[in-house]
Amino acid sequence: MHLRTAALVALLGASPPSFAQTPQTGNVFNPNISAIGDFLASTGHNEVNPMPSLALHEAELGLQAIVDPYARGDFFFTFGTESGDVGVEEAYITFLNLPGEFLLKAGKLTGAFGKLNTQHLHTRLFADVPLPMQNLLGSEDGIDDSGISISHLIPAPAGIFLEGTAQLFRGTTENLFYAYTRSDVEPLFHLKGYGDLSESSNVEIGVSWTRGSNLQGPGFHTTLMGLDATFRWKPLRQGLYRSLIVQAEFYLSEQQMPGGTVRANGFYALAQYQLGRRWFAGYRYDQSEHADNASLRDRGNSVMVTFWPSEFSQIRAQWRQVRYELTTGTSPASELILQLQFSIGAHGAHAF
Amino acid sequence: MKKTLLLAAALLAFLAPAPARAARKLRIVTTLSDFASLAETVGGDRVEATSLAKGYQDPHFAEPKPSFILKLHDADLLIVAGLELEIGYLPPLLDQARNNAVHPTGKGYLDASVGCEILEKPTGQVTRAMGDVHPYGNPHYWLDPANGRVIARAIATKLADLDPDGKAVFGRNLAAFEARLAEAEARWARALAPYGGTKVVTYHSSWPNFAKYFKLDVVGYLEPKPGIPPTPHHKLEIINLMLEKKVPLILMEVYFDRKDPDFIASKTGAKVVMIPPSVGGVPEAKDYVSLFDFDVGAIVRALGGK
Repeated sequence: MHLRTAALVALLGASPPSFAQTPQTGNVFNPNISAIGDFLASTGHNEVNPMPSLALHEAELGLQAIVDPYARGDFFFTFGTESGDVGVEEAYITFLNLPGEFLLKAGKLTGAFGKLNTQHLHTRLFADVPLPMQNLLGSEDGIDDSGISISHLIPAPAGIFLEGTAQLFRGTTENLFYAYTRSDVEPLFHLKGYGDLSESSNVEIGVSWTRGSNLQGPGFHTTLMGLDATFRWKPLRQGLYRSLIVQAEFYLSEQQMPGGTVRANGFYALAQYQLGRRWFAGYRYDQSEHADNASLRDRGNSVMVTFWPSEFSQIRAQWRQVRYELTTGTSPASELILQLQFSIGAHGAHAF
Repeated sequence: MKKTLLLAAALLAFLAPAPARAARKLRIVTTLSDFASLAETVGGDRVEATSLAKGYQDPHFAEPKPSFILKLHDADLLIVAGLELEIGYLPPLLDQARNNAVHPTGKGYLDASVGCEILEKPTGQVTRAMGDVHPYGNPHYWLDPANGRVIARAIATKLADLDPDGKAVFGRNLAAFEARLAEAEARWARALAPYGGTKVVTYHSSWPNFAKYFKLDVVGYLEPKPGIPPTPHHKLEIINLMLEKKVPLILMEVYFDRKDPDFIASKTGAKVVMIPPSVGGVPEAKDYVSLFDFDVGAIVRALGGK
């Protein structure tokens, strides 16, 4: 053993092995690491979908880095308060330079269905999700599944950004889709158009479509269609102090059930206005039928105020009133939700 | 099978980018209007340059608009400030631009900070308790004309790499710019000569290179920490500091709110000078040299000169 070491040293000459010289290279290639906490407190009355009084609703861990000259990798793990409440929210590779200017993603990713479905919790403007997402997209997490995604820029008149995305998922999403066999894959298509109206305002419009096997049993499908529209205003000179976002989404669900197909729809419309450098106020109206019973329609109203102590933390208060319709009658709810979000580390910037 | 392959080949051929035409101007996208101005000065009519951020906008907070993706998709050269100034919007744009050339490892990418004098590089541990600090140093380095010269030279070298036929033109344009800059530097030095060492308070820490070059002494900031707006307590501290040190000037960027600086000025007798940190921040700041003409002129007037 000693002899072998001696031989090695002789082989290398006077200098020690190279790994001893560069102990830090491992850190250089570490990904950007970030953690974001979402803490919720709520009070008031809600018999249908109550939130806990106090909860670390979610902790998100992000690991992001360039994989190699061809691709980047993004991992987002989420942790809840209950034991075992751990999940891969997203984990995907993005090939940035494919021939034909395609952008290819593969892994677990959120479906490109409208706006809200692609947003992580901490980028949403309200503490909860609107009723149509809860009722028609399965849960507050929406369509989030293993699959592949390919997108391409579509030639358009000058200044118009037009992008088509086609995705293919395994076909299993909480409360929405279930792949009974390997052929129960879920295709999803999204078309996004964007244009600047001026240097301070712009409009984005999208249409989405997807179809998968639903939870009623093999052979039963749910088709979802979505329309989204967003208007943004931010005067560049006063951009630190003033901005406005108006956004609306409409979802249509066609769920095949043993008794026939249920067509249910829902929408939300929200506005957020920036009052000052760190203050934002917003209003949201939302309503949605139930995916399995279109004669029941829940309606909600919310107002919120958000304060950002810095770019890395935010405090939000939301007053939410909902009138749930149940087969047994209506159930009114009104709640005050307080949200505290805090972020550490290097979290990659989000797309628009 | 053969048919499918043929179809795929045809599709790929259709989608492949068309070969670049020789007569086409070099398309340059910059994050800051200052770099676009320098690139136009050096590139002349062989280039067309556009900047993502406007001169009257806070350069930290440009937004990742999809229309910028189109600009980057078509760009031959991207010039950035680096030092993480653009970290909040540029990476997602580049990821979607489908243009290898303008990625940091591509041949059409220029980090303008390379070779420039960078100030305020933090020593010791950096934490966000310090506010929105830049761990690689203060990114507002283009506000030093000496750095402007370094950037113009780097642009000339890069343009000659990308468009070898234009090398002589770029060399001539660069020489003309350097001569014009040297003349202007003499003019600014004369104008500011009586005011060397003047104490100033600035809103954000955007002016360390500017202050060093023009011999101003920055003694405080309206922001208690970078990125945190003035608090009542901090405003009081600044008022006391300005009275004690007899600070005659508050320098502020055009995109901040005047209310706090005006209030502090009313309590201290100081003058507020609202000046653009970038080309296009006011209509008079048409290019890199006239930016300093405007800023220097505003300071001289505020200090009672002509």
